[in-house]
Amino acid sequence: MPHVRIADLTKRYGSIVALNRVSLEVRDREYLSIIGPSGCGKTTLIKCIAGIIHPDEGEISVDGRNVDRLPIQDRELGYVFQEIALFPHMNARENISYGPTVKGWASDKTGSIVTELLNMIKLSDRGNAFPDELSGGAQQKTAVSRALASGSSLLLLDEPLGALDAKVRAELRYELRRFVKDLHLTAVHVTHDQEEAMSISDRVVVMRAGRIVEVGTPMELYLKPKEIFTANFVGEANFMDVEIAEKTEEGCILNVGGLKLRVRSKAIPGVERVIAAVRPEFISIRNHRVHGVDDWLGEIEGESFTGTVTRYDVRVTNGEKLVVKHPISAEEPEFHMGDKVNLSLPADHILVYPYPEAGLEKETSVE
Amino acid sequence: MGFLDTLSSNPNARQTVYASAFIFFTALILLPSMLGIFLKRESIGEVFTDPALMGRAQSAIVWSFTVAFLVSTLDLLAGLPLAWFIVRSGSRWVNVVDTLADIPFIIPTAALGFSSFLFWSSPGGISTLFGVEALIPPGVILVMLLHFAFSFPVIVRVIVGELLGYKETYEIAAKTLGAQPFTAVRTVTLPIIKPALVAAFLLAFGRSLSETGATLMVAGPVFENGPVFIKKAKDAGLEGPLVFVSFILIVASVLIFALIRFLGARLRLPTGRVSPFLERGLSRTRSVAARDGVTLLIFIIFVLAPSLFVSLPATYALLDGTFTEAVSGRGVWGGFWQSMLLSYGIGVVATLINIVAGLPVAIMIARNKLGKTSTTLLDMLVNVPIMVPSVALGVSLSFFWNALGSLPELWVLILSHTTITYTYFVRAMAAAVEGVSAEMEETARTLGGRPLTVFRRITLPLTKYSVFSGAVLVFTRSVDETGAAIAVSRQLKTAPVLLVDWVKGVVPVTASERALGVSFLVLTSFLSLLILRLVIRGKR
Amino acid sequence: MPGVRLVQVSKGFGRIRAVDRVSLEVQDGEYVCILGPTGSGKTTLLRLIAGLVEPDEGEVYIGNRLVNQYPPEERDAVYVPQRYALFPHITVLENVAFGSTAKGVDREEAFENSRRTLELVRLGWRADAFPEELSGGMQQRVALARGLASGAKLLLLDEPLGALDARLRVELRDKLRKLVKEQGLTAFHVTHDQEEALTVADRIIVLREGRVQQQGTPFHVYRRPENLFVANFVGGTNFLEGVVAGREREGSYIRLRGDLQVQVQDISYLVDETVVVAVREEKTLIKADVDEEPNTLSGEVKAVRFLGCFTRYEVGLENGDTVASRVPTYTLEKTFTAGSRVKVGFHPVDAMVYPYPSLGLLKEVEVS
Repeated sequence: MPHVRIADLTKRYGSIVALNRVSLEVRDREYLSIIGPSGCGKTTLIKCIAGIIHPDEGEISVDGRNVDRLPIQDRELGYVFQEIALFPHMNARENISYGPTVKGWASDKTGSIVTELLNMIKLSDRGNAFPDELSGGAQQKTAVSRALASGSSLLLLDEPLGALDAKVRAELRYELRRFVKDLHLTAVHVTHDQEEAMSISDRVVVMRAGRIVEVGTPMELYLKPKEIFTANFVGEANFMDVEIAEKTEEGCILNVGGLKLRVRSKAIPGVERVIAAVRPEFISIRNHRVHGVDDWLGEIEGESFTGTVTRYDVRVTNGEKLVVKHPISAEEPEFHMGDKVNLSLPADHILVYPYPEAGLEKETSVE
Repeated sequence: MGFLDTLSSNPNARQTVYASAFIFFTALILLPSMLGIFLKRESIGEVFTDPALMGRAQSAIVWSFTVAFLVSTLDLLAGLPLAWFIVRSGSRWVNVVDTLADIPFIIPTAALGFSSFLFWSSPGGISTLFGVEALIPPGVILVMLLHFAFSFPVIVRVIVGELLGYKETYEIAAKTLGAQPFTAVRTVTLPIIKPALVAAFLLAFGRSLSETGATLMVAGPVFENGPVFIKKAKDAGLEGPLVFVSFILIVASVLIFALIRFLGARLRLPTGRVSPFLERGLSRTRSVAARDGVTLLIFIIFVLAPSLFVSLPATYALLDGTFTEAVSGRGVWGGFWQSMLLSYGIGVVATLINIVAGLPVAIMIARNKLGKTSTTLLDMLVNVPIMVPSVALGVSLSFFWNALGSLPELWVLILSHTTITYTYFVRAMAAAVEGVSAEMEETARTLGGRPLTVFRRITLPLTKYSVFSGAVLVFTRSVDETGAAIAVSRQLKTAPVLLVDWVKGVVPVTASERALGVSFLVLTSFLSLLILRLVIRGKR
Repeated sequence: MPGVRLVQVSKGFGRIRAVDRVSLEVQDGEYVCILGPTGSGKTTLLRLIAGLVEPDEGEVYIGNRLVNQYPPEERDAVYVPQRYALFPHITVLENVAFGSTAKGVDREEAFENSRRTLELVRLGWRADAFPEELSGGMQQRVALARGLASGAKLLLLDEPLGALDARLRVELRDKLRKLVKEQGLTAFHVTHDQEEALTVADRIIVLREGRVQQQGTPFHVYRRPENLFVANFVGGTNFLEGVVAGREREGSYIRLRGDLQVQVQDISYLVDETVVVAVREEKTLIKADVDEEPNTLSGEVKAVRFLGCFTRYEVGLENGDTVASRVPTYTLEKTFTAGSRVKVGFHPVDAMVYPYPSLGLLKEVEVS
């Protein structure tokens, strides 16, 4: 039985449709992330589950029970806010004890739960500190403990790491997942950071303009996204406006400005004009003297170093501009501005989509 | 303008402006208020030699603080639910209630006093319903009812302002943790807005200590608090008791204000034993509706009705010929219109002085120009004029200026009105300037804007509503003022002071004339605040 | 001719030294990133250059001119805060024109210039809108245009992309750098995101607790971190504590916990010194069976993290240490699952060695 079931959820604000008939099932004990650009409805969705916002239409059930009529305080779930929202007039210990206290738990039972949680988040010596005396990361961990102290099995996180530095975020997100998994919880985690979502989720939901675009495991969404928007939103992609030259047994051959591109894929659209997408790291780049069959010749127009890879902007002879990510093997970057290089686009990693009605730029816009 | 702009880049020029404003504040506002009393300290001896007088003086002081404390507490208890209703209930009556809640604020206290008197103590008022001549005769109870009424809107405004700015996220967080709405408010919201509650309490407290005119109208023959005692002492020509009571009032007020601030910050509202069952019951819709109903009822009976009651006899006055008399300026009305002119003239001048002199000080406070500790000190000093009862302030001021060589009475009046309203303007402006992020001004400067340019083109446009409302606040408060005016006045009488005389029968007037006179005062006040409301609403 | 120079600049607030004897030199036209965790003093440094705060000691030079006594409006350096501080009561066009009109430029001319600048950021069509009507990304561009149109030669950007979504940040950072370079300006770009800094900067200045940890090109800072903090803050790094067991001409031997031994090229440490061996996650190789690599350690996969471009394996070594290995997703010949027994290793040339810090390893690399 799914832990949370959402059916045809709709919410309007005047003429803006924040949620447009959204349906979703969250599996028991799964770590589910919801990603999407600002305004896509992900925060509205999670607030509807919590009861903070009331949907205009649709149903929400938790553990098989319809919760539409239940006020926030009776929904028995944990919620972590983007702005953390620790009570400023209470110290860490008191904040974490709040849930059990208002529910009337015996004080020794509360005390032991709180001590245990403080240990788990490694803040046992900071129990008496007030929120403004704690670092951002410590505040967030305290907020998560507070949400779980009264024993809910469903945890909702609204951009929980948004207020933190990049480095702290990268470390804390794994702790979040560990926490959730160790306690056998179900988590719904809203974020705009797709790398964050992918690194810790069992499944990821991609939303846009009030609708769910696609749902899948991180690998599915990254390697075989079904929608063009997903291809651009989850990781980077090169897009080429091309034509199908011929269909083959394994897939098809594309005509890209005179050059041929072989594609091995089961998902070939029926139309002629398509968009071919390939991730920058799948394109291999070699010295122009080392030439392989089907290779494209190009010239490097830009390079930048990003630590783990070097990004090259390559202008191919057919006019296309491609971004290539090349892992750094030697001491110095291998190629430089103006170098002539050969690019090889692997047939297995090329995604083909029908040309979008709204046009490529609009369809992939993340603003 | 270009020259001034360039000049503003010079730190010395800027410092001169700030220093001048600070000197103005110290020399013309702070010191005269404190020193005047000090100059007459020898006359205090008079009181110590007369035990009966001493007894009266002491009792007056104690009554002042007792009434202030009781009334402020009651106002807080009754005002909080109403403020809550206005901000949170979402009821369609909210706008109506919001406007009505301001009414006692709009009505000058002198008018309020008279209206309360008519409502509670005269045969034409609520007493007829109970078959008595005066349900609550003039005396301590009536004084408390009056003070309750005129401090009520102050409390409501402050709390409404705080609640509007309050991040409801905290409450929602509490609810996600399982807290019923009532519990969430009790354990989370109230502790967080506590500073505003303390501030509201202190404002009501100060107002009660200060008010003179209306209190005189309803005090009756026996009751004496500080202001009443001072007026009687002044009328009797007894300087000693005057100085003594003023002095004690000043010192005690400052101390008690500091004490309440200190204790208020330390006070921890009990979050202890939570009874989920009881709190769930209190959160239910029916309980909330009942609470709202009671709150509104208290508001209507004890605040609204007494405030508006004067409109009844005023309406009769329109019909019985008093109105035409009034407009013609014959008889008592000649003096009345002169007093009105005086009040409004002083109001305009006081407002202008406050704007020019107060703005730099407001900026100094808002932008922490003197560093943290000194700015806090300045902030406290700026608050002194409203901590001290205005009547005591007036006494001190008149002694000071007369000792320095005779300053014309008009100027002493202007200075005293400026002094008591100074704090309002500076605080309103400081809050407004704080609302403009320093970042915005800083960015504008790095873009090439000189300090004065930035002030003119960025800060001022963004705070102009506060400047305007601060100005209107000062103006109405000045017109409203009775305490300092009574203390200072010899020949010249401002409108409210004149009306006190009319009501107490010092000047023989008819009931209609009284009612009409008071109504004129109310009307003009009402008009100025209406303009303010329209301007603010229009731009929202 | 240097664009900006700081000589031993310090600034304290109460007992905290926000900026501690910072010296730096930036060439005209350079795009410099000031990188560090929250509270490291980056914003204060920017404000010192802008003239919004006065240094307690030290000199600030802008274009060879000592500017300590100059007010902000005379420094030709524009400050763009994280939340942009667009003036809400005037239109986008008036915002952008502010720098010119405030300095007395004729209004028509200023507006003309501002329209052109707005076109540069592709927002000419929103000239008459008010700031609150625009999205976050658009507001950022207006703030940038406002800085450009003021004619300033120096841009001080405080976390310019911080208020934006992750995806938008990646898209806009290149455009930001390009625009600045096209206009020939010098820029200071403050950020806590090391990937951002590595991507856009000509030079990176790493700051911690008010002190400069390292200055250099992205390549340099990434490849040759000068201390443990930089090694940890920039990029993902594994740290192994150990003691120098032996020292020869080609390299040293380090004995790790649990008597595991590894070889490194660094020979600057003496035998018996306690050190920390640091290896980048992408240089930490992971294999199923034994290889000829000189440094091979056995362990068990504790967690697998899919990061899109890379997959990150958290491996618990037999001696109790934990390391992470970053493998490009597309080269994965074989994937490992949690619980698999694996071998991790690295080439001696990829190992960086640092003296063991007196405060302990955790404290030294602390970022939160």
